[in-house]
Amino acid sequence: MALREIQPLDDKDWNTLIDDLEKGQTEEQTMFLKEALNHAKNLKISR
Amino acid sequence: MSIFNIDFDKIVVTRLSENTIGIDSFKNSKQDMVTHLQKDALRDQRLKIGTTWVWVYDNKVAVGYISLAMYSIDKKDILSNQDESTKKYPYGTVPSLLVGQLATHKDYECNKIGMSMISWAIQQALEYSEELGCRTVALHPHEDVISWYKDKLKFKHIRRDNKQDIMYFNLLKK
Repeated sequence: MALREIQPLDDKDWNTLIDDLEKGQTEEQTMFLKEALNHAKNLKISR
Repeated sequence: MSIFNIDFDKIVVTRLSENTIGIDSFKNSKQDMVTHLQKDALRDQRLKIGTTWVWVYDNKVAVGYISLAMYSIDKKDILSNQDESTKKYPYGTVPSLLVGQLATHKDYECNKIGMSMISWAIQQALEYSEELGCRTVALHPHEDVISWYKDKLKFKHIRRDNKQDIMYFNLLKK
């Protein structure tokens, strides 16, 4: 997605974001993250 | 049991270069995704405005790519002391890692390659966050992938009328 299309959040959306960030990850996000990191650490990387 | 169902031992994650295998034969139903990989991604890399990583399978095929950049989710108006949100978060910007582009080769869809790429991006973001601020992995989704990010990858979604939607993954555990 092109950077030029990105627009800042108005108050309503900003507050939604901040409220959610404050809660931290949900249980299912934490479970997904664990699986994701297990996968990612085994990938071979060529820089 | 792993949620990943193909042999990822044959995948090498490669930083895009002029010599990366399989770029010319990359196929995707969205032509702009192909154009980005074949034309724009190297330019972005030279300009340091985006870095592309290619999932090369069996040293033969580019089965997917992801373009990453630094980013911030910003509040529209300047934050004032009166804003209620300052009690929860002190600034008007959330430093993030942007998934600018992500695409899988058309012939290799449904192999969880997209999930692999996002997993790696989240891992990178967590590592970056030890060195510099980075609170979310964020992106602006096409309509047809919103449910995939939401249901499979547990991203949160902020839908916005007449503006780009934002999806993000909170890197902080409670």
